[in-house]
Amino acid sequence: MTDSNATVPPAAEPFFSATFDRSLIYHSGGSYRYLVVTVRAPEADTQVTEKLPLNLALVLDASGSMAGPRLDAARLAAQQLIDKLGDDERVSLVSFASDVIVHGSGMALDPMGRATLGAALNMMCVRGSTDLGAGWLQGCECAALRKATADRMEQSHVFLLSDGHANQGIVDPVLLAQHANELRQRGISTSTIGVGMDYSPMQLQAIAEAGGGRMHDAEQPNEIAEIMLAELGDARATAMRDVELTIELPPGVRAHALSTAQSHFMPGRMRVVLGSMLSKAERTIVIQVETPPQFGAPSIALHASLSWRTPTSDDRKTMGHPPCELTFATGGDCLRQQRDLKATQTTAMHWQTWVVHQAMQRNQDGRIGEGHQFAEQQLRHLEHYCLGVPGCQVYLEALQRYAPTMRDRYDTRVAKEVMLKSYKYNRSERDRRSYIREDGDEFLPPRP
Amino acid sequence: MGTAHQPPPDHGDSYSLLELSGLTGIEPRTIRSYVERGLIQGPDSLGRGARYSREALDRLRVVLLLRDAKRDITLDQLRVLLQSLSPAHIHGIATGAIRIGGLIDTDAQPTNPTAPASVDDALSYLRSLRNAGGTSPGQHVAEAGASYSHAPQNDADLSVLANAAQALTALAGLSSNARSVRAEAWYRISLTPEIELNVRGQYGPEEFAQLHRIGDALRVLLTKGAAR
Repeated sequence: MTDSNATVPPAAEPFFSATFDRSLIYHSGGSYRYLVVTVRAPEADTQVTEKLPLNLALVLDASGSMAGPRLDAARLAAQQLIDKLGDDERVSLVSFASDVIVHGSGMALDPMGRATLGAALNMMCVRGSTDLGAGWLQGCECAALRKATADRMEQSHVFLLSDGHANQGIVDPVLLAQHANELRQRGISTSTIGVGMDYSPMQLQAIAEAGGGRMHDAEQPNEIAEIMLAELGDARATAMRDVELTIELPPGVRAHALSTAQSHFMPGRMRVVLGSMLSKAERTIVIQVETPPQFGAPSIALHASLSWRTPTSDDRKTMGHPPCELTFATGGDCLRQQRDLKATQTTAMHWQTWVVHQAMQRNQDGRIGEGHQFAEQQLRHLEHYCLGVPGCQVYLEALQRYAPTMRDRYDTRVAKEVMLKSYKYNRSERDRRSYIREDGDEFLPPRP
Repeated sequence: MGTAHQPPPDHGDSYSLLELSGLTGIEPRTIRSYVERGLIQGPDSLGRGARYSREALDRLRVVLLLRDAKRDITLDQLRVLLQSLSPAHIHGIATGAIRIGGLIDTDAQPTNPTAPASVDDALSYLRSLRNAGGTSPGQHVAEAGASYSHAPQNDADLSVLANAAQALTALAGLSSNARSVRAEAWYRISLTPEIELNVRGQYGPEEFAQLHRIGDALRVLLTKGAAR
């Protein structure tokens, strides 16, 4: 029997369900089953969240490549953003190139503060290379300093805008993600905006994913403002912050998230970072579970739990889920078992978008053969998984079109678009750009 | 005729130098040096009747607390830290209502960024990260020494000075360089193409206007001299 018991929450609590696609597993071990976890944020109390002041750090790339319309657009967007903020909110302004300049730290938005920030934006000029890590951490420090001295609850958030690939300071996405994760746990979240065609989706995505925020793309300078304002709206509409999914893993069970979300493994446990969730937003994470051989007990159970912070409190709330059981059975019983159709279709969709994203990361990382091999191998697994399952063909066909194209290095612009779309798709997130690009659409299934 | 007893003048929340010294245990000459270094405001007036504000007392108490928490803290670090705090916050620290642990790496705090930290300890994490050079051993940076440690200690605090410079620039319409957080706040008033007046410190708009007038007077003197 498939475990499909969802917790029915009271109105202000999130919806949280965890369902296996199949519930029988081989005695001899080596079964792969897929746990589909769905989280839906409650409706945000907008009267509360809109009143919760923002402690915002704007971190702008001022490297040489931003010269001209990009920096002008970034400055204009930052000014528009500041104009939208209330007098009781706080803004830090940092620019980075090969050096880092703090133009304002935790500034109150009284007339003096606004004048200071406006003057700083006007005077901001381009210089040198891209020490993205130092600039971002400096912005975090400004927000942290304000957080440490504030005598009220504020939403501490960093907007990081860059058009380049960090080539100085901390450049490793894994290390950037590690710091973003630590800061998120300490109440400082980060969203990123990539400008133009040459930014590093890997670095910006690592920071946004682990930092509990969102990654956006603004290819054209005139899109920076709309993205920034949309991100501000998202920050205001946040219903759950710092959301984490934890899965307790029985001995011998191996698990892996088919998701762009950051996963952390500890003995007997995996933790998946979902970050901030907007009011009524839904997020699905598919966990691939490999089972061990049977040792005595007739079944194994995975325990899933959710933890988060509300927009108005740093205290963590938790919600458990009834155990999701997998029962040992003979090979024949396993083959004959019924699938949970919806869970299988959801798995196929997330699997496909995850493969697209992962293969393209390898491609852009210069590991072209590895990316191609990965895509072809995953295609064969997905074909096997989708065999005879209605509604899965669309995902399979998209991956069949995609895998052969991985033989060659992708054009940077198309690759960025494919990565961004698969990332947004995998997170069930809206693309905030008003101008819709078609690049990469053929490799992704139509949105459900 | 007897002399009527005169009660001491009621100065409200203001203190003489000796009173400040008595309340804090800090030598008067040390208090004067703190005024010179910008840690506390000077008295409202000069001479024997000089009175210091309540905020000056609060600042001195915070200085004592900070020096007690971190013995090697420098006067410059104290100054930028105090400048980053509002009067209400300083009063809160002085009266014990607000802890100082979140503001500085006290001597008792760990400096290892990988050590377990409390959830609300973002500032400590970042500062210990800065002390550690931004990375752990073996981690990937593009250039040695070019990581988070690229920016100096207390950048965020020093930025307060840069903020003031820019605010005053906006209000007074004077020229000023956008300065790195590494720099002190200096205001530049151009007198002639070859000569400029550089002033260090923080000033209100009125004081700044006065400096501007001094600059004007100097400019007149200088240009007349050049004409001769």
